[in-house]
Amino acid sequence: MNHKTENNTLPDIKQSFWQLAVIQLAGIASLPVLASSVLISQTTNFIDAITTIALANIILWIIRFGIISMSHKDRKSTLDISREYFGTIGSYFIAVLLLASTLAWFVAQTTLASNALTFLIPINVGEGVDRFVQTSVALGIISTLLCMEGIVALRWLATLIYPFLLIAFLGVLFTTPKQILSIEPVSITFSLLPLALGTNLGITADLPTFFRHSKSWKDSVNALTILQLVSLIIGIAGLFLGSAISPWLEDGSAESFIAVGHGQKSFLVALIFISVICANVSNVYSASVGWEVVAPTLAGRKEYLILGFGLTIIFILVAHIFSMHSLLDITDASLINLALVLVLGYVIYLLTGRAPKIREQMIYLFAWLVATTLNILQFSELFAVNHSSLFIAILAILCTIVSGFTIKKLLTRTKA
Amino acid sequence: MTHQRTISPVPDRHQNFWQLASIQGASQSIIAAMLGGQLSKQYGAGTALVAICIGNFILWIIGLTIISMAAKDRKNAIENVYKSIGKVSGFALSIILVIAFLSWYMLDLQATTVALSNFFLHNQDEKNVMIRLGAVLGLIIALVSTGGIRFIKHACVVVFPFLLFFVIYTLSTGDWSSLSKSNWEFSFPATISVITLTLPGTVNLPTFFRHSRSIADSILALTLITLIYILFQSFSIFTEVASPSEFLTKNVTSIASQTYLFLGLIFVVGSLFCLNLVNIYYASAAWELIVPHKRSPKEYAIIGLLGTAAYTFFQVDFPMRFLESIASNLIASIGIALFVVRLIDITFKHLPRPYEKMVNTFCWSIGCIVAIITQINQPTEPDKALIAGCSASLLAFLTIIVCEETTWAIRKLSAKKMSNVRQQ
Repeated sequence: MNHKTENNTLPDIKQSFWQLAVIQLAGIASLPVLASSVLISQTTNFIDAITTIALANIILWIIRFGIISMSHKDRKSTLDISREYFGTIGSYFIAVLLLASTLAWFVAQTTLASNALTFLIPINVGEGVDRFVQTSVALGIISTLLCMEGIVALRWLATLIYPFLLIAFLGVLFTTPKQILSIEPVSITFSLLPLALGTNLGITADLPTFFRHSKSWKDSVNALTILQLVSLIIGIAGLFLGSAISPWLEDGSAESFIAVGHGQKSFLVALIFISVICANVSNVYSASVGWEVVAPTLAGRKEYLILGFGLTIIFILVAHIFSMHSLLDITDASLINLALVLVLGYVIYLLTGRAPKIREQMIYLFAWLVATTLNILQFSELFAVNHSSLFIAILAILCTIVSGFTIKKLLTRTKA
Repeated sequence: MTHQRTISPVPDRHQNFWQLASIQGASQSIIAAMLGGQLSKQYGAGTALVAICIGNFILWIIGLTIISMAAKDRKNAIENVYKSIGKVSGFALSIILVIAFLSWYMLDLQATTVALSNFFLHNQDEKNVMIRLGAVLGLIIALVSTGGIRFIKHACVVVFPFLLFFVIYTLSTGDWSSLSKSNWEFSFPATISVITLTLPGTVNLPTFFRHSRSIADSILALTLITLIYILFQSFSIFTEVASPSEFLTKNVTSIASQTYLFLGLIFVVGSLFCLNLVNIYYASAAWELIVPHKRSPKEYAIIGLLGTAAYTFFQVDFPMRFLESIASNLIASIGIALFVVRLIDITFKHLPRPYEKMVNTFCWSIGCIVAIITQINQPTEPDKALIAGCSASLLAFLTIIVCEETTWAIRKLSAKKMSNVRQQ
């Protein structure tokens, strides 16, 4: 099902490569890139970190290229592609996944930002008043206001605000004491590649929802290339920030935050505030395609209003009471698995030259379910293995798809 | 009455008298219910009841004047003021109404959360839980307000019978002895308190009455509203409840029981929910003038979000109450000004008034300045500020009317004399 307005036409289909790229960079891509880069910088040497980030970006570009190729022809959203490869029942799973993922990200990111901003802006507002609650409500309200107009407002917001986000990032970079990574030993292991891919693959499954607004195929490819190049630069720059910025990227308490100078404080406030607002607005738009399957009668502006208000209400109720970490891990892993299954499905489609039929859709859905179940068991420590969740997922997907297609072929031959 | 509108069509134009009355009744019930208790404590049950009856009949006359001014073209409250008092005053009133809305929304949410925390938490110190609760309630109201006038109508029509049942139940189980022991006197300050409370709402009546099916429905609804207000304001005389949280306090009255508390909970939450929905719709009329745009659910959502933000950030009670008093007094004094304007229109038909809007604006402004100065000097007595402001406005109107009439008479006589001389 295409994400259309009330008069059944997809709005805003003339987005240039720059607009497509900044929506991703301002909204979704910057924080995961920075987070993975900081994590890498804490555990490896400089050469390995740079080569890992570079290789991860190349792999991401290839996977993302595959995903946007699938969606370009009929301006399909993530959910439209999911329906094509998972069938109608499978698309309901994905719709719920998109909504759950948005909820987890919305709560986690706004909590993170509220914690950091409460620490960074120490204003005395009166006895007994929790500034975390006030900051949270303010962030929720601003996000709700900005997500009311859907993709059009998101495009304007991202285009206008991205330069400021970039200035804030550069400001943080130049005002933070640099952490120099050791050069020795000069060894390239790529051991952190799953980490770099894992933190960035989650958003890949969402790309079609945004890239269907592209003016042309050329714009889509250019946007993707810019996205990957800027991600590479942010990733390498993030290596120099290391532990100086890591407390601000985790859901830490006030105790874990570090004292910063006035200049750095201003840039951090701008970076965190802009990032979280853009991320929330993008997340709401991404979830809206899932909402249309769950409640098709409430499409258009109403859905943005309901999603914006609903997410803010849930966030205010659960922030600092329930942790979203488990849900975040599960939805992230599920989205990565979705991206992997879709890319594999697309490769098979290119090889066979025909769209998947019901049995093949069932195989893809089953592969996704198996990989996601294994990841959930792994997170809950019921399935203990020494490999990363990404490796397990890839293995599970490949095994399921190969076995599925083999069984299908055998059954066809037996019948014949 | 001809129902025409050139700018943008008014939706839902077929509301009957019961729907119109339910909207006002459900939204004003808790405010009305608290007044009776406050007056009873201050003046005694009998005097309070007399003041309630007289005050509401005066409001009925003012209300009739205001809705008859706006009925012809289905104008909202601001358009009505715009037509009678001018562009500048209309714009100023829009801003005042938005400020008043923010304070009303904030204070109403505060009252609801205090009442709910009294009932569920038994600890008013849990301020953070209350802020979260208030913010969530504010956002829910903002979200459902996007349903516009149709949703407000349905919500109020559904909620109102429950509120009425609570009042009737309380009256039927109440202690009537206080009434027989009390003096039955007329009190001017008590009557003014009754008028002050509902006058801002009366000025805003056209915003809702533009959805009326006919002028007959409007007048019948106004009478019903007056009777509902009298009933709601009277019932708390017997319970002596003076704040929303007291409705849910177990030891407040002798009639406290589980049924009473359950119905009380519905009454407090239901009425404050309807009140804030109606407040958003009131403010939307002002919003339409400040930010001209096509009517859409988005404007209600934005207004609701602004109200919730005000609630979350302005937790300091006194400044907001002060601001609310000033804004309410200024809105109430425009009600008096509109009433006088209408009277002048009817009485002095012979008088050419080329500077009518300018004069009206001037008189209202004088009232506003006096009201603000009085409020600043006596911040805890908003009624005095209203009386002072309205008196100043009336005095200004009277002075100008005397001057206009006298000038007209002199000119008329001079013209007659000149024509006689020419004829001779």
